[in-house]
Amino acid sequence: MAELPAGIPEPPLRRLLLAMADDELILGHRDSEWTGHAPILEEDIAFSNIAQDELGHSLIWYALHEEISGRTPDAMAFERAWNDFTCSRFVTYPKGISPTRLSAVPVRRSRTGATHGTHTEFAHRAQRGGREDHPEEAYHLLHVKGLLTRLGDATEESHRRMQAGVVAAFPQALGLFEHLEGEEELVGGGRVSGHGFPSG
Amino acid sequence: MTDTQWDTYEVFHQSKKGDPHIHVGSVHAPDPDMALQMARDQFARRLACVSLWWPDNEGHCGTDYQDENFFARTTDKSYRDPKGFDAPLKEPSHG
Repeated sequence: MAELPAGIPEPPLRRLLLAMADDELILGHRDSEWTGHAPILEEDIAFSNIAQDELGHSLIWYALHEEISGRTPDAMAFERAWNDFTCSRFVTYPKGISPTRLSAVPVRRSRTGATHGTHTEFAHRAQRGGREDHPEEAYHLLHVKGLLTRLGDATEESHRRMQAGVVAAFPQALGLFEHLEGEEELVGGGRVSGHGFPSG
Repeated sequence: MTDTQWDTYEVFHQSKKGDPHIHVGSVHAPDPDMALQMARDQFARRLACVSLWWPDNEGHCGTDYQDENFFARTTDKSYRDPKGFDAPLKEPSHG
């Protein structure tokens, strides 16, 4: 088992890592539902690529979770009941519920898991995980910004649809920022970086 | 009738600094910014890439070497690399 940085309570950290991993895994699967539905081939490939990236990110967090729980990424991804997943509700909605769900790609539980002033192997791995996740998420953000802005501005009809999507999605999206049980102990103590994705 | 066809951008790919940019294909996009994103996902997804050119009618568009994160492949993407399968060393036994 991993040696946790001093002062880090284990259960909230385990829950946080699992929630981050579950978010990535489920969103990756949901994003893959767009494959074959994009208006042009280029976007079809681009969005499928993003879906694959998310699955890769889920492995980062599942692997760290295994350090604490002893349960392998495969076990967590494939051998749990549906109601044992701890992802945000928002990432579970099927495609088509709202075009603005696109924006959930980069905006989600995105805490680095990094800790201040600690030098255990686990802390280093968590920090590396954040660094690996970050550049790809920054690109996802750039990509969906491009899509959302252009779809919103294109025609009266496209503007109407995107606005309706924002109105429908916004309350659900707030669920991304709900605290997990015991999370205050991690975030409040400066043990783990807070909510939100760094601009990029 | 309005033409809904997007512009075509030819894409040139550089694997590492010092190598020539090589024409790898084209993408359709509504503007140069989106063309770059499409080019990244079509042509820098599998091959290692440090720079793309996607010239438009106005002038030249090329990526900046400073922005390394743009082409970062941070997680293991070896499954995307084209390669063969290992042949089994022994003949499978029958019976």
